[in-house]
Amino acid sequence: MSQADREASYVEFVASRRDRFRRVAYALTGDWHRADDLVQTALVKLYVAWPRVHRNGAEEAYLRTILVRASIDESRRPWRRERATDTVPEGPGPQPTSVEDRSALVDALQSLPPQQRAAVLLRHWLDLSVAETAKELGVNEGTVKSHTSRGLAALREVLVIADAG
Amino acid sequence: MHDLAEQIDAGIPAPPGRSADLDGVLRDGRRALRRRRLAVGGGAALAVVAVVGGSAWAFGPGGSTATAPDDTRLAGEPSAEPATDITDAAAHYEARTGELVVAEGWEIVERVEDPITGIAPTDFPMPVVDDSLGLALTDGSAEQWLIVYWGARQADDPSSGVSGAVIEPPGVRFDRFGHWLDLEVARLLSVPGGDIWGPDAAMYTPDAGLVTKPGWEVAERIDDVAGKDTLAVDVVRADDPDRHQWFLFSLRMTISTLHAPAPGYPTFQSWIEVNAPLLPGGGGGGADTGPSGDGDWPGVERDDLVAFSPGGALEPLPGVSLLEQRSSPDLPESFAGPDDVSAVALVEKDGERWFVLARDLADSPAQYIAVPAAEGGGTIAEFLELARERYAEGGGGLL
Repeated sequence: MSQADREASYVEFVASRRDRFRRVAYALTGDWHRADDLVQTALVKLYVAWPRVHRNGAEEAYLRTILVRASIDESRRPWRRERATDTVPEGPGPQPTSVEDRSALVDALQSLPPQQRAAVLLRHWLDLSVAETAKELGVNEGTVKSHTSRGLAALREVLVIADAG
Repeated sequence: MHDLAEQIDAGIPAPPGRSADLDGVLRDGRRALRRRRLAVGGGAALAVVAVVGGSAWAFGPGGSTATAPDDTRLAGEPSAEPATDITDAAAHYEARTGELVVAEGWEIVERVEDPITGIAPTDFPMPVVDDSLGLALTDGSAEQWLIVYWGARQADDPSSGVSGAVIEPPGVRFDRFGHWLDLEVARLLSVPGGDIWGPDAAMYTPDAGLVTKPGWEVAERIDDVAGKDTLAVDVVRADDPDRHQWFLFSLRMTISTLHAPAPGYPTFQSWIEVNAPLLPGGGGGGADTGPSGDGDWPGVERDDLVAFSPGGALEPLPGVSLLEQRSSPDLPESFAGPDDVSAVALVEKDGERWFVLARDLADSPAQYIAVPAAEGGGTIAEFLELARERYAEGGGGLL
């Protein structure tokens, strides 16, 4: 695959899917800045692995897996960083999201432990099976069932409380 | 559940603003690819030789077996039995198809995707590594750690594939799979002057200690700055004395500022004074003390199942059958550090099976955490998966 072919197919895929994956990342992180950082990182990884991933027709799954695992890793890794960047972002970036601007659902999702949150989103939003979700999260199917049932229970409870309030 | 999907979809808003320019993504992608593909001649060959100190290399091109490349070892390095055939590996990519093949009787207990995908060291038998996996496997008695990889000799012809493996015997140089894999990959990707480290110019692991990025030097180092196994480091770029980075390391947490002096902190010492207490054990709590939000802990402390022998193995107590055990299971350091004695076992007592996770830490009595086998998964590997999740999430692990 020539670089031109590689980039043409890559750009076509990214252009058509990027906003969808920005939403997935936002649902995972609850923050548009973190979501866009996550998507940017995932897209660079996808570029590196593009020939293999594209050949296997696994572009969406690959990108989704990176987003999900990276969001969980980020929440687990106890890094606290004051980071200055060397480059100024191009173009108008997303606006900061205040807590007040977030929907009750996004708030409720953020109250879940990261693996529960990811399990709920994969199973009940992105429509993955239990087995697919288990593979995506790198856990066994029993853990997925446990996470989704607890996650949904907490989600419903929080939403009911939010509605009542 | 269909309406649930619709509810969730309705609750996740459309992205604000527009996406950053795709050119920026492409530029970063090309840079990452270039970084991984750097043809580095002698420097890379030397690095690879250094890497094989405790590892064996095997290549399998086109479905047949080839002679292993130079397995020269550095004097004084621990040695391992060299692999002469890729079939010595408990798993490998089938060369023609790129499919992963796991040898009969072996089971993958840990798997890391794409650790070296995209790189092209000159000693590798393919132009670019198209696929790779880090694997820890067991056949119930022996264990093996691997980096397996596959690539096509001709980019547009997958049938020209060639596969290979880096094999590491557990326990020779490293106690934990993750430590070995991190260091092995870092060294494989290490190019003098290259930017493969990302923005960080220093890293710290229990095995490798403090390692600085090529071209950077330690300007100041303060050991045990916030208790045992903590470290404060000021590193400076050799060719630019104004470029500093500050790090606070503990075994479980890193705090850094990549463009020092950081705003509000005129000196390294002032930055340390504010941030060091945030390290776990540093008096400020740290990030790993919060609750995980999941209060269902299946473990219970039991002192009637097993006990550590003086040699560090688990021995069954009266009335207990020890069915299987592993020493030093690969678990997060919130359970046991690299120098601590730890083990996991499957035991049976009074007709009931239990998994027991045991640790003997330097400053406290040995602890034996038992989980009913029915709740811990069917195998030790599955139980360890559960334990890894629990100890990675914090909040008390299994208890």
